[in-house]
Amino acid sequence: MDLNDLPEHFRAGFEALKKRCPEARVDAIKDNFVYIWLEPIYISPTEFKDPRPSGVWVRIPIQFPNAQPHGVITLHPLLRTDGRPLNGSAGRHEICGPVADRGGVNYYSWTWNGNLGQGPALLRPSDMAMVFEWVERRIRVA
Amino acid sequence: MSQKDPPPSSEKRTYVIFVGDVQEKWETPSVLARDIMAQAGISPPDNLTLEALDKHNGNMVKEFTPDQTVNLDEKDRKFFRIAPGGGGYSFHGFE
Repeated sequence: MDLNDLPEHFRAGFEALKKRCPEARVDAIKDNFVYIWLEPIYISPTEFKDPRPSGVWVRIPIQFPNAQPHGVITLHPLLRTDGRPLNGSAGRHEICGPVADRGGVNYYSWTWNGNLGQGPALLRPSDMAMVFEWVERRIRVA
Repeated sequence: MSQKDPPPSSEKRTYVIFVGDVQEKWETPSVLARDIMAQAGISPPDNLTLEALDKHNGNMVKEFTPDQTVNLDEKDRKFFRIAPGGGGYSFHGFE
């Protein structure tokens, strides 16, 4: 994946995200979304069953920060130890397609704003760094 | 203890904490999360949360909304980070 295919503002945001998560990498682009692998992601062993993914893909719009992240894709389904289902779980959704050959087959349709409240305003490309904490928290509170 | 030393009960403890790489010092163990965030340069903390970590850049152990009180005397209250609050979901991938 050639980062030069992405607009400058997105590349600037991605650089900020890389400072937060040095292993972040762009794996695919489709339908105005960039599929970014984030690793390591912390998923509590007391709250989630094994196998817990060590990383996930997050979908960030090319128009970021003028549009918000939407959706996380995992290698393994996320299963809570207490058996409660996760909101937004869409299973083997077609949105996984761009990373399916890498094993991304579980889609979670999580949004920046919604039933849990508004996320912080996204004002500048460097705000992309917040996406790392957003993903970890979104898993926890789904 | 020498005569010049104050008795232990009058000693002030300073709580040194870190929000990311930003060091903060507090003289009281009970601090509002929003005040910790403000000292780290985040004010107002709109739609953000404060997360206590198990070590520097470590894993989250507890989340505080801005109006919750953080007890710096408790375990794992030295390292923090600020994370986006809020969020939602949709079933079809589009809001």
